[in-house]
Amino acid sequence: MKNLILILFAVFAFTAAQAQEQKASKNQEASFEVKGVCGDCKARIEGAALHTKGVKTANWNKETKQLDVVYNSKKVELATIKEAIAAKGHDSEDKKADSTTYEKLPNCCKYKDGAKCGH
Amino acid sequence: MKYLLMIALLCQGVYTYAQESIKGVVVTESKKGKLIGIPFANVYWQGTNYGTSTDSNGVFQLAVHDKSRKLIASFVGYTSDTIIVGDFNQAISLVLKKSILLDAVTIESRSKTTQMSFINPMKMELISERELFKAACCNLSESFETNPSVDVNFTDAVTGSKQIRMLGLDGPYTMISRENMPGIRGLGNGFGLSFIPGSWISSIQVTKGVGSVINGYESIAGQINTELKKPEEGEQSFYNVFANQSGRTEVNYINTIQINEKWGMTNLLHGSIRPWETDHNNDGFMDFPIQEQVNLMNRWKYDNQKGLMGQIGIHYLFDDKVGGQLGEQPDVVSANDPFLYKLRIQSERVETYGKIGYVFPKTKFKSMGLQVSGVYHDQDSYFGYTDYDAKERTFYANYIYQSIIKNSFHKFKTGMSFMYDEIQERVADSKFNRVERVPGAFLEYTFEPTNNFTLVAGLRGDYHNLYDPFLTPRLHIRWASSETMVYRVLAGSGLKTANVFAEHQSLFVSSRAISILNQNASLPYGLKAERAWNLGFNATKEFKLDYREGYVSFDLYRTDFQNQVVLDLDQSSNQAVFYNLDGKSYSNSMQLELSYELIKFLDMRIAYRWIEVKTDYIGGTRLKPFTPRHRLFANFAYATDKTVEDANWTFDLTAQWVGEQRIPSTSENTQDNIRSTISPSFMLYNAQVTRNFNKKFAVYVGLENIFNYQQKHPIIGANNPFGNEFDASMVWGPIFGRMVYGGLRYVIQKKKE
Repeated sequence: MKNLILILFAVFAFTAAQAQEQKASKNQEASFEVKGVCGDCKARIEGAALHTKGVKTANWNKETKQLDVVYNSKKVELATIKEAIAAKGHDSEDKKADSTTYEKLPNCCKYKDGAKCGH
Repeated sequence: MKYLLMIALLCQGVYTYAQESIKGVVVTESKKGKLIGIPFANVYWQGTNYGTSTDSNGVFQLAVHDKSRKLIASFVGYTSDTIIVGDFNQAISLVLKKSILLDAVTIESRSKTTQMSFINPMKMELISERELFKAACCNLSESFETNPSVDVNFTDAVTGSKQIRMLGLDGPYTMISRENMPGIRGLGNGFGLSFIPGSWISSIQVTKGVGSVINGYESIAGQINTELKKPEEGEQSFYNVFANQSGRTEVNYINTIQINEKWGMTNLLHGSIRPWETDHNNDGFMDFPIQEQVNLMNRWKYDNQKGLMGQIGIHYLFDDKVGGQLGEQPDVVSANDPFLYKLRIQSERVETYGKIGYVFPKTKFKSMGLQVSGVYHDQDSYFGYTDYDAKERTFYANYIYQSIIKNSFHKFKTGMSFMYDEIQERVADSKFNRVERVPGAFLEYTFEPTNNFTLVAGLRGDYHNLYDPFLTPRLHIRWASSETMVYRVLAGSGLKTANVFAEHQSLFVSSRAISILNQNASLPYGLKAERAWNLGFNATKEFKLDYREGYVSFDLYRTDFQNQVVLDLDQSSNQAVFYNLDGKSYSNSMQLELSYELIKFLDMRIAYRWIEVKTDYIGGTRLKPFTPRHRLFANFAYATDKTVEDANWTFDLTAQWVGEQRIPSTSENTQDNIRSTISPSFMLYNAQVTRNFNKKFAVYVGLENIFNYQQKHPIIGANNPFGNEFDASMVWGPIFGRMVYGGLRYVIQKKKE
């Protein structure tokens, strides 16, 4: 067990060191508009972005509809992130969700049909 | 009109005032979009102690400071606003927003299931309901499996009950409250942890060391406060079924309805059963008793939306355990059909409570509250030939008034409390009756000049009918040296009555003769009150690595007993002797903890803890038995992210290593009944997989003690339970092996508008 913990600390230290190296070169920040309404949409949009390999953080603001992402530009392109979000039914400027996916969204999230945020 | 005045003031500027001060207003936006002044808000120059508070219209005037141009406005319940002042002749307007606590809960895509508070002056860990989902079984005693600060041990090998420890000190030294009212104390110390179903709990707050004086003088090693599900959490229906391979089955149903704008009600129902005899280790004893429990609670809340709030509730419990040797008690006892060692523990408990609080509508910083509760607890039990019957009646009232001194840099809470305990116990033929009446008063002052520093100084005086009047001082200081680094220091004392039998019922499942030395007839059990001083230090550093969050936390605690009711198991293996401490007794503890999101969606928590608990016994200074010096802990939690319609899995693995423990000597026993005086170190692993369907429905399967580690022959002299070597209380490790369990949860949550 003691060894296990030591290994964990080592792994941790290693990833930390690696992360430090990567920080400067690969990670990029971007901000773009994603259509959505409220809390459920936020979870779906951020989830879709985060599930894309190479995405570090995703934060969607329901008031401004802006999604801020940090991603590793060697692993993923911005277009891929937008595609992943569109695949869950949410439009961004250059990637639109197809209508069948959009129709599957819960009613409270149908941004094209004037759904309003309840809270 | 007031607003017009303010706006006029803002437009006009401040030329009429002295050159060296600025003038402005602190406002918030109402729902309708109007700007409303916030009276008594704090306004100060960042990094300095120079500040003021706003008047009843939200207007302030403050002298210019040469060191800082950043002006901060803050008020309880609002997010702070900072502004850099360029032109001192311009009126300043600071806009505060209401903190959106409720929104954050529903929206946050990823929040830690155990959170370490950064702002609280006490180091408090908040265990959320989702953390409790990680180890889905079953009641409060089993809710700390994934927490490194609280140890959970079996008390013995027969009753199946567990007790907790903090800082290496037994459960009763930790104050276990329910919604900040007395929870598990007195007779409840026996089995009370198993009387709170895990599914009823909405969160648990764990604080090490002495707590606030407001909640009484009893906490010494720490405080555990449980919040149960309540009407305030919104309308919902919750169903839960749990079963494990040994037949343990539990059912929970919780329903909340909002009757009208003012009234809401929650019903909590629990039933559980352990239907059949199980003996995995073939010692002729059931591994845990056959058990039935019915647990019901009905609670109401009232909120008139104008500052008056109230709660009332009633909690009823019935619990029946039958354990001991396997089989039916024979009608006619003979050599072939001997009288069996059986035990039966029947508990009945009724608890009612009421809380009422009022916030003064014009001066929101002023509020007052009254809490009242009453408990009736009745335990009828026998352990072999030993009877133990106990009754408790408790009444508690606590009045708290809260306000500020001049501005909200200086806050205080003051009030009075009254505690009444009437306890009647019968052990075999001896009776122990007592009544404790304790009126008390307290004052707690909070100084919070900036966001970086908090000082909480509390003092309470209590007039106990059995002990001399006593004072309980407590001090908590928090200092944040940066936005991610916080230090905390605490010091204070605590006092409690030792309930020698209720707290040590495991002694009844041994042949040990219980004796109490140097009794003073006027005191409970003839023994003095237990009193200790506690000192603590904590440093927590939050960090972000590769955009993922984590923290490192370091704790040091020392508890020094002025008096302790010492349980001495070392005089001989046939005796259990209680006496007042003569000399020193202390606990030192150190804990290092690291929490980090190791890779995306994988949370890791590892902790190492070192504890030394030493007491001066009659025979010399010894380590407290059954207390490991070293413990390592690791928890890994992986969750696929929560998008509404996506599949959602969570995986949890908890591993812990428990070091050697001192075991009281059994060397006088016959050869077969002698055990080592040092227990081996061992490892324990638990794992659980949960599948969530569309946020409403979840199914989980788990495995406790994956590698089936067991203490061998935990019952000494199991073949002769009425002989003088029988002892089922010498338990240092798991007494039953691998256990598979499964269950499901179904929640229908009505969305808040």
